[in-house]
Amino acid sequence: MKPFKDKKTLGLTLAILGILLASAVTLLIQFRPTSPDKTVHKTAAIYQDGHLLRRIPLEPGAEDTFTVESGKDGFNAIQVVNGKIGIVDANCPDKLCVKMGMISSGTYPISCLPHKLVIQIEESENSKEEPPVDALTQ
Amino acid sequence: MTHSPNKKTPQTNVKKLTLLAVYATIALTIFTAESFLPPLVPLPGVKLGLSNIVTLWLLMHTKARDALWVLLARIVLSSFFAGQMISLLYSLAGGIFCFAAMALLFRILGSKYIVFISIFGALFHNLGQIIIAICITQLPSMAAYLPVLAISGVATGAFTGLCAFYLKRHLPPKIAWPM
Repeated sequence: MKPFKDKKTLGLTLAILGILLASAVTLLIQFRPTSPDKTVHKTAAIYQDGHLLRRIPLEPGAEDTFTVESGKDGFNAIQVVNGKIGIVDANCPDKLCVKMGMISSGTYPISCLPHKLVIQIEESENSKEEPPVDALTQ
Repeated sequence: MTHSPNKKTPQTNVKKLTLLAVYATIALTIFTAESFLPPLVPLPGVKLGLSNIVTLWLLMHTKARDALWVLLARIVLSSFFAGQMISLLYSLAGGIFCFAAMALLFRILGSKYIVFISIFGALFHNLGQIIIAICITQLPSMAAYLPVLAISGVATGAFTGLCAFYLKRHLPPKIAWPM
């Protein structure tokens, strides 16, 4: 075995390990739990074609079901239940948006790429003693 | 190199065209068969990408240009079957990113490193799709999928790369590339 071959393999392996490590760290940061002494206000924002369609506060107990039309005959049925939001039915080809299930955190958005529809949860964390950031800035 | 450019008779051209068409058909068949498999993880972009074996295979046996044509034929034909123009955009972005990375790495590294080339191809495929997803949805938050897609890209890229590696080891060149 020639030495340069080993060097290349080592370099490539290290590069891939680096990418894996960076991804794992990012994932851990994404999934970090919110600290219990903070109240989190969650709002689901539904975007289609880059435009905000609707903003729904995800309070416990809030329930809603509605359909978003897309193009000529595309649709996505969206359900809000128990502080969670998800697409329960759709007529896109892969139905990946339905399989993604219900989300209750802003870790990653639910997307229906064929219908250019994205549901994203925006979290605003406020400490109990401090007023919300918006109140300060507005 | 099994063929030289100065030996371009009409016969070899027809033979090569036919062979590339056969490979495009194989890639299309693998792609369609894979689309019937249930998704591994319900996230957009997480998939095995088995038809990339054909691209890797052609990179090892013929010019990069030929591999690119087969890839483009597979992408265009498969989006006809899927019947969605939007999926063509995603496939094209992913496919071109993936191909550019793999062709460049192949030129530098050669077929001994086919598994690494495949991994980087998968990573760039996912990167290309995220970029096009951000462009289409106009939401930068789509980048949140990147870490998951990077990890799955390494795994699926290694798998397809190993497939190509063992195919190359066990399939006689006379069958694989009879030029």
